[in-house]
Amino acid sequence: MRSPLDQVIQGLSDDPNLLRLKKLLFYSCRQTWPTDPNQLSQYDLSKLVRELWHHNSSLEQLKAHLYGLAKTLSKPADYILIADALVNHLEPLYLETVATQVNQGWQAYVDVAQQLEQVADPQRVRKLLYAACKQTWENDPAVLSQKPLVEMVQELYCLTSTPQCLEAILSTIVDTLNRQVEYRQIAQKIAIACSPLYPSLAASTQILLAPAPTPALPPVAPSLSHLFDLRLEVMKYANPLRAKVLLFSVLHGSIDYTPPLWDRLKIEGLDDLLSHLLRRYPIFTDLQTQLPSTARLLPDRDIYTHVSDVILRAVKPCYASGRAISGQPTFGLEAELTPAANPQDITGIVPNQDALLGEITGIQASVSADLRADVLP
Amino acid sequence: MNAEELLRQYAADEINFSGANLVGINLAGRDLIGINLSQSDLRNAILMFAYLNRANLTKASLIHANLSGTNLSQANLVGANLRDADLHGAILQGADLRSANLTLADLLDANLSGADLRNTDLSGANLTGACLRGANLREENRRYAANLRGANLRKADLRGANLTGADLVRVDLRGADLSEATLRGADLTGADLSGAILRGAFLTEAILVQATLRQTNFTNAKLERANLLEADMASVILKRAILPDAKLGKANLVRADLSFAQLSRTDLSRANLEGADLQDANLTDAYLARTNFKDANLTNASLVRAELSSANLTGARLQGVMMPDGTLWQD
Repeated sequence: MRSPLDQVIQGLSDDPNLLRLKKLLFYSCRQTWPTDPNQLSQYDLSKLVRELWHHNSSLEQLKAHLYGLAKTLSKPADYILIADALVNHLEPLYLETVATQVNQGWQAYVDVAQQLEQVADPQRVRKLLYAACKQTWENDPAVLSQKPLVEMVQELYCLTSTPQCLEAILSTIVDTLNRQVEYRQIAQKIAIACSPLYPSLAASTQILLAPAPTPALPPVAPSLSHLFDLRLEVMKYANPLRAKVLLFSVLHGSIDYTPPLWDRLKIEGLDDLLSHLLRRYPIFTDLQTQLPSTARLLPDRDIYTHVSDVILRAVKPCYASGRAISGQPTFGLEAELTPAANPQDITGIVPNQDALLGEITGIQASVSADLRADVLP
Repeated sequence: MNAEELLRQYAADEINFSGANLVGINLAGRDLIGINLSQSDLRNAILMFAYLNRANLTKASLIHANLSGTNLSQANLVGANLRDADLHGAILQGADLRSANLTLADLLDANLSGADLRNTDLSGANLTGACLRGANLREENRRYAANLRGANLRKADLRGANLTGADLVRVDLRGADLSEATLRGADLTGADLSGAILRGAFLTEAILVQATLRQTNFTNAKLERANLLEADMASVILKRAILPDAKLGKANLVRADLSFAQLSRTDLSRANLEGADLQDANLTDAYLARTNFKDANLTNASLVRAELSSANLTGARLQGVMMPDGTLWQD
């Protein structure tokens, strides 16, 4: 029996508007309009579909994304119809029962979510997961139930590279709450339930050697130390600012070599751009195509081609079997836990205590608590 | 002198432009390798992506110059004035910046690995994401020390850097990597090192009073006689850290990992160690006046000659603990 994904691919392949469908698919995944038909033909349809599916976790999100893109094109009326057709083709993938059958990686999240559903106080589980993912406390049940638990689990997993990192994030949130005893138990249950998602060192070695499941668990940002090594590797052989220009152009799908670019580049660090690159390109061969082709579009193309080679060489060890992986064994708590200033409005929290959440892959979280030793006997 | 004239002379093998007036000159992207611009006036100059490798810029005035992406590797910038200069993504690898003025300079994502920064004034500079691996910021004497007051070193790579005696008061070092760095006697009063990595760093006699050290990783770090009074160290990792004679009075060590740490003669008076892990820690002769060990794990720790009369041990795990009188803990 053919998988639903195969059926979707077959349906698209048989569609008389295949070329336009593929153009829109390409545009939505790569943020550049495919002008060269040869370039487009190099891309595997199923790869693009998987990528689009992976980046849009619900049908509503997919619709909003595609219709939004279609409106920006020179023939919006035509492409809204194409977007509509694409949504119809992909719709079967969003029926959760089917999705779990075809997506082996997804099943791991489903198992965790099911385990968490059985916890005595599932609403508190949702609150804590929400706080960990969004860095803000939410009490409104309507907001909390907007996202399926399985997606919250997936999001949290993507934000944490090790179980220690997960525990640290949960623990720092619990520190800020009034009902610490209750929430600490919930945090423990989440940590235990999520533990099968993080392979042990021995197991991760096996995973790297084994062919990646299709689609596998999403690539995870490398640990802070590993990201520093990656940044250093780029800085050693390339101009850091040129590396940022190329990364920015690839990630934003535009070439804008004007003064506003230099200001814009001050907002994102080289490490953030590298981290985003690994997330955006889970497959190395895609990156191998995209980086040099963007470099050729920039002024000083020879220099940027060299920068492209340096980046490809630096990030290559992050990929196993062609897919981005979590990289080196991580180093406990040092995994990306850099707090930043921004006090959170967390209901039910002791006044004057701010939350220290972690900064996870470029997401700014918040501040320090004052838990000084005034509680002594 | 204008850009055209300078480039014409440089093309004719003239490299000495010492003392030249080059205010606002635009030499963006130009190859000026090895040029001598010592004591020249380059205020507001545009040198973006220029190649100034091994250039002589001693005592040059580069105030407010645009040096973003400029290659200054192995350049001589001794005594140069780079106040408020834009060095975003610049290459300063192995550059000599001794006694240079870099106050308020923007060094975001700059490569300063192996640079000589002794006696450099980096107060208020932005060094976010900068690579300072193996850089030298060592204090030679009190009058010859790097000044980093109020600098932003967030996510900076300072692995193996020498920061002996450096002034790092209130510096933002969140998420920075200082593994194996030398910070002997450095002043980190009020600095924020949340989430920073200091594995195996040398912090002997460093001053960390009221510093924020939440989730900072000090595994195997050396902190003998360091002053950590009133530091906020919740969930800090001090596993196997060496802390004899350190001052940790009133420190917040809630849920800290102090397993296998050397804490002999350490002052932990009024410190809060609630829920901390002190398994196999050595607290011989430690000063524990009103120390809070509520729910802490002290399994197999040594409390020989420690003063425990006012410490709070409610809910603490004490299996295998060597008590002050040298006997093992009995339930």
